[in-house]
Amino acid sequence: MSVLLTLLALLSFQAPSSIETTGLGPVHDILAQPEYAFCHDEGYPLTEDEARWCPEIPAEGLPLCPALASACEAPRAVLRGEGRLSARSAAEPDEAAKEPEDDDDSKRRRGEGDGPRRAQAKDDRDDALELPVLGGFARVLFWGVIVAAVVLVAWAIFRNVARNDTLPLDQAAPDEPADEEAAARDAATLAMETDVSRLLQLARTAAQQGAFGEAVDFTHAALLRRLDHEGLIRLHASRTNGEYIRELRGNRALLEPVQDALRDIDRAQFGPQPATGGVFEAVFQRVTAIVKTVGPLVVLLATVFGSSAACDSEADTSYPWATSPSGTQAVLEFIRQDCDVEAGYRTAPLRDLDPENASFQPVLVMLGDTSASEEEWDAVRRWVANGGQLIVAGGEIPPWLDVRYGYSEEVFDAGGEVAYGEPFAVVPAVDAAGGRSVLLWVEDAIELDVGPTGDPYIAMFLEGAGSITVLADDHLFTNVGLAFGTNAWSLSALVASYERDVEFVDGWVGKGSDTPADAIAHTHLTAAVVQLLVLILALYLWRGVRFGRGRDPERQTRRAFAQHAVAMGRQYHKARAASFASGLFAAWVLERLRNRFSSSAAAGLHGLSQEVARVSGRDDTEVMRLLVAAHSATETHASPGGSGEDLALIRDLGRLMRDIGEST
Amino acid sequence: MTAQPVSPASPADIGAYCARIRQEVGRVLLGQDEVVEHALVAILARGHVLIEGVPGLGKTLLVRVLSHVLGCSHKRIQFTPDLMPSDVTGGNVFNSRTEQFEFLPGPVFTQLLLADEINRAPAKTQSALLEAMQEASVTVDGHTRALPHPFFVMATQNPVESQGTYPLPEAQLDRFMLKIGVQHPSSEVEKQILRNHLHGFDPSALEHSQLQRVVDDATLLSMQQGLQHIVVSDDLLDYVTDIVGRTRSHRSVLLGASPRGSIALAAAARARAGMFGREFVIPDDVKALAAAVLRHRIILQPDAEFEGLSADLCIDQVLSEARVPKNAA
Repeated sequence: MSVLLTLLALLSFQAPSSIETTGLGPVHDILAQPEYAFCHDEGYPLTEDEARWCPEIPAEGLPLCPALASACEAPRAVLRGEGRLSARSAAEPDEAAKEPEDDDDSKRRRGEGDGPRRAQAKDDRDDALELPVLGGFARVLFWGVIVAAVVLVAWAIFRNVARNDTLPLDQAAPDEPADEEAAARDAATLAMETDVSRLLQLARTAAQQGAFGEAVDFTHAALLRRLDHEGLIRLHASRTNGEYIRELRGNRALLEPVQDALRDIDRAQFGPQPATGGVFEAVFQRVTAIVKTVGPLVVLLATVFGSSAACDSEADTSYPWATSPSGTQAVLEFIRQDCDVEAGYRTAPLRDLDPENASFQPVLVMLGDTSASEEEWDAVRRWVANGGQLIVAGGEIPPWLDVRYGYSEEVFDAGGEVAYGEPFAVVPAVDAAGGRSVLLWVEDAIELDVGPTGDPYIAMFLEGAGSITVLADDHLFTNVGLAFGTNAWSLSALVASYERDVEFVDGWVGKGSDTPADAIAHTHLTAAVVQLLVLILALYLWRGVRFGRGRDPERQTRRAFAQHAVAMGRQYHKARAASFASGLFAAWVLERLRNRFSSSAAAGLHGLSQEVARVSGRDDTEVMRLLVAAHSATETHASPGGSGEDLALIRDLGRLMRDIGEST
Repeated sequence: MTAQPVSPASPADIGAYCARIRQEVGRVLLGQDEVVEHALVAILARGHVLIEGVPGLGKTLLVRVLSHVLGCSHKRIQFTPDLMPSDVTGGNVFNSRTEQFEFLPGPVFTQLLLADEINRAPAKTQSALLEAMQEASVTVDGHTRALPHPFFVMATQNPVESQGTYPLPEAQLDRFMLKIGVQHPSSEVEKQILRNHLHGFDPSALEHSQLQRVVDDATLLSMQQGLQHIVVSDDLLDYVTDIVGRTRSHRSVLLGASPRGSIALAAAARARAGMFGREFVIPDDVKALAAAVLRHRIILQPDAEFEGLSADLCIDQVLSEARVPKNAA
């Protein structure tokens, strides 16, 4: 009720026709700031809408905004794009002359009623977010590429699966290593594991099996892999723990714990005592603590540095043209200073209004380009009924209120073109110009006559514990409006009557995204992202783990000839012709050994076996037995058949060649 | 003076002594931490050091400071083209009073020997040091005399003046456990050196510099013997042999390091582990000393030398290819 009384007092108050600027100290100080260029720059490009203030400038000028009169003579601005981020530039003279015509045309095209106008504006904004419409050929090409890609991936998956299913065991046999080779390869496979959690899991498994040394190795690998994944170290086979520690010198939070952990690991790996369960547990605890810390720490650092790099400390939430004549920055600043309350823009959607605490929440001021859905209006109504205070300043009028925007009869009588959505035909100052934007058919409201024609400019509706105040336009809440007449005084009285903070609501309220999914949905990219995810899934299925998880490239190693011979021997053995293969391979081995140990070869197999035993570290007798068997095989290889002994001989000779370093 | 049986020091004790030695030496010799570290490694591993560096970098001061801190005797031989072997080893001279030949020990009979500009003497004189460095004894006129323990040779050579020099033969180079390059100190360190001199520091009067003697002969010997208890795992032996083996197969190397190089590398790594108080060697020890141990033991292909490749670069390549044991990569 105090609001009502204040409003009545405000609007019945006869403000002096001219107010000394010293009486509006905050406004003077605010508009004196250089960012409000329209008050200081005589060449400031006003938009056509802003230029409608020009005829209302008194002959003696505006003391609060001295350059505005000259700016009215300057070329008009051309807006590119829409909304807060619109770019503004001075138009060429011919463009400036052309603009009004276009504007008139557009005015004629607009329909009657303010609601449709705002709905159209909202649709235009939504259209701006739509992807450009593809032409017929481009559309066919787009879908053709998509379909081709899907077919290719599906075919590749099918081919891969089919190949694995049809691969005969016989064909896979040559790749099967001998027992010790299999063990070595398994170890190498485990060493190639790069996933930190799996490495820790492997460490735990190895520890449970009593292999504490291996468990420490896995734990060590997990630690280094995590540091490498986070970009803190550069993992390489030739690098030592000391080098990794030196790389961490710049990171004091991690240096000491990593140093301690690596010291323990070094002791377990190279120390005099083999690793025990206690040692492993100690190492494991240290490493898991670091592994859990590194990720969040890096994310935290990245966030801090990223946000500090991305955010300008001087930047605020205002949009680029907040200081323009039609902006609201000066209004917000004025409210903060003069009414000692917080003022800003609301970002949360209207449907999130909390009716429970409506009595304590800020006053909502719905500005000119605001519209709301049915669901949002329901939320607003509940909120107001519970004590919320709403000011509709040129925004979409709540549908349950019997009030519309209109124009005074004076304008009709003057022969002016009347069209809804043209509120700038008159000066909007409440007191100075009489409010020729008016409210029509105001029923069930407290009508407040403010203009010389007696047309209502402000109307107030009581709604439960709250109230809704409707203004004929939002000019009272614009920067340039503050410079005229007693508008600043009126604004101050209006806001102060609520004794609450103030939140402006414009067309962008609730347009932000709460989740990444919302953001994608708002940009209409859901279909594209889903397609991309499906493609990634298909690639994952096709390429397997290596696609999804970072791994070191596998080194392409050339097989030794002995390995090929062993593999071939298996095939011949299955064909019951192993003696042929063993005979040929034995001949090759003997020739190779004789060439290499030519000095000992002269002494026959005995001398050769001694030399081979010395180099390979094997027992003389064993080598001698092998060489004799090989020699025998060379003499009997022409005979058909073969047994397991022939295959065993091939394997033994292969191992012998490996032991003496014959890698060919 | 012969080695007395002493109880070996524990790795922790070795580490503590070495830390104090380095601290004391560092008070006088500024900005040469790596040289001091390598010299200590060589002393602990009973090896010798060849230092390559221009004059004026504190090589003589290093020997004098080390001898002071280690409680050892020291002597210096300035090698010149007319230096004779007997000038190094000493010789028999006739004593007219006793009418007998008496052995007059040469400067090699000391514990820390600075062989300054060793490449200025001819090969005959250089070879006089061979037996001393390898066997810790000197044979004169068929009579072998043991050198004092510990015995440590620190030889220097100037890398820029090659005229009138006799490059050390490969056999003699191989006797040096480490070859260290001494670099100029940083400007900050050099400024501190100037301040010290302006405040009255006199390198020829170390007794006034309040240097403390940290160990004595017996302690040094116990430290040397204590290295025997430092473990070198099989993985590290593989690493050492892998590195040395790669020097032999490197495409730019004509002659790689010998097995003596492997032995020296393992021994030096073990000494470094002891120096840091560890009872086991880690790959860092091997890698930190590989260049100092191997750089004078490999001979580059002529074309590689023409291309400006150095032994250090080759060793860097070798180290970047050799897989460190227990590495997760």
